[in-house]
Amino acid sequence: MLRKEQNDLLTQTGPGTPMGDMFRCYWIPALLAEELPDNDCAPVRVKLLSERLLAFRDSEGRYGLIDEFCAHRGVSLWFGRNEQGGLRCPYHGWKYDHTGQCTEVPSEPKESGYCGKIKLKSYPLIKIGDILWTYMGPAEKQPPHPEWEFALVPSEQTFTSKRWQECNWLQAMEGGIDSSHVSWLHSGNLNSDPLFKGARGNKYNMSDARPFFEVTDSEGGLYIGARRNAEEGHYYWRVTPWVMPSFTMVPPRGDHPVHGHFWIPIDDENCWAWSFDYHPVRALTTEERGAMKAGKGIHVAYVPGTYRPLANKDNDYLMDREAQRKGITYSGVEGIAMQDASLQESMGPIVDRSKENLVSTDNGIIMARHRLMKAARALRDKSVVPPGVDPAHHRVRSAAIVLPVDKSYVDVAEEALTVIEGKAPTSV
Amino acid sequence: MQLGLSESARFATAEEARFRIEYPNSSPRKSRVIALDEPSLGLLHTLADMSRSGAHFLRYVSAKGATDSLHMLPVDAVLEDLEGRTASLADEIAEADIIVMITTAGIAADAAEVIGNACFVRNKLTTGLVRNADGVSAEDLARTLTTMRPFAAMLVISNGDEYVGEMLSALRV
Repeated sequence: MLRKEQNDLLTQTGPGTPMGDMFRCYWIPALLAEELPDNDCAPVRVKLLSERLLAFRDSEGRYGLIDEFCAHRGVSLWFGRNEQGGLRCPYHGWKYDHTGQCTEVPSEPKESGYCGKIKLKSYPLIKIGDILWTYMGPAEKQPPHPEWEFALVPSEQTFTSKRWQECNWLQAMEGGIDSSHVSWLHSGNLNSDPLFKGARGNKYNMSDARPFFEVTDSEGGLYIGARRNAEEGHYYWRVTPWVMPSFTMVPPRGDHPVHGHFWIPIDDENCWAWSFDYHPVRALTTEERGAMKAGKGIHVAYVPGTYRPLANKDNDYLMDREAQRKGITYSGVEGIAMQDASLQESMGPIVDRSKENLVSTDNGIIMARHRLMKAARALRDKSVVPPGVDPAHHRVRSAAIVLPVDKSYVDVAEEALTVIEGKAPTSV
Repeated sequence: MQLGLSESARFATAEEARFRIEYPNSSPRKSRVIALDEPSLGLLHTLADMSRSGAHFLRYVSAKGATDSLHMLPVDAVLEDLEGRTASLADEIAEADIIVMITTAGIAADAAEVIGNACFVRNKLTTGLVRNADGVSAEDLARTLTTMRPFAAMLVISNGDEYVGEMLSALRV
């Protein structure tokens, strides 16, 4: 349960809000690199942290992320002509480079220097892996580039998608650190989805629906361990790392690729759910990549030409009551991602957490909220850099492991939960 | 209400959220917060001052055998409230919805076994909260966790005390 002022603090990420200022301390995913495939390609509207922006790639391949609207009369530069090293407004021909600097105002004499006084707000945009990342905070506080393993492995080992989720970022992210729902909501998928099935760990998931939990701080956020019964004298542990503000990794299954998410606010009532799959030591197979593109695992099939899921709230998520009755899917919604998103969106755009009744197994969520509020206040009041900014905090892994009852995942954290180049994930 | 949209689209709007009914959806919890060691006792006083829900704040004193002939199976214990009145663990947890054990890293927390067993035989889940601090060695923390682990459905390692109040508030203790 949260009081209204706590809920507001956590869910509002626009400019000048404490949580918005905190998000502006990090490099965050802005677009898929595939959205700007070529030099001088069409620009793309981008809304992040309640700011309307425009991304483009100029004639020299430089990426720009600038204020969407022309400084002259407020026209959307989405209509602009991307040509000869800049983006030209089609209304009166004002032209901007990738930093937002106006380079031409055709109606004014070149010698007047008028265009030098016009500059749109811009943010850096860099490509790492399949993602274009931006940093929306003060230039003097720009941190080093992100070092998430999924973005740094060779391209044949990784796959990233994104989908529009129509609710606040926090209720979406809280699903990612809530291990106990897997045995219920996703129970129909563990033995059928090509990116999940066949792992030995699945049987432990299915045979013990009441896991025990152990939550501990990490430097960048939390580790949330879920413990289920395994063979005599052993427990099956699934360990989810959460790195502030909104990165999570799902514990692996067998030799399947490992997956995880970022939840990035578009505005306070919408977010991007970024989903990645990668394998630290091998290329993804053709079948695996095909399944990911087809929307299996944690990915989705799209409304053609968009990043909106094909099953969405406008079609009741293609609810199939027959599949629900037969247990093919537990909720009647197909696909792991939309099983989560359908329920999270049903809470409303921003859920009222004063009405919720948390139980002790929700401590991962309670602790994550606590860490977020504490860090946002420390940033606001004392300019303390929040956890998760330092790239060292990015070098985490999830793990699935069977251990004797007298051992905990904390005991093997160093080896199992840290990126070790060339080492396979710790998985069952 | 907009016509022509699916039910999910119509009912997931902020406008519709205004019509969520305002009746209470839960009864007050019966909570027991038990300090397992002396260092956690001070925190207990602070938490009691913050609480407005009538939770019982208690400290563990000693184990009691199940019966005189079964004293090797301690599933009851003597507790003491903040005014120094003694109470029986069995009585305290009989009707409790939430049982939170608080201990300090570096202390073995053997009391957790007694309380954990008592809760197990009565089908009650427990939350164990281990207060960690700078200067406590990894070995000491591990010893406390190993002792607590079998008896806590949720085990939380907290750096600093402020989380404890936050957690109890979130759980409506």
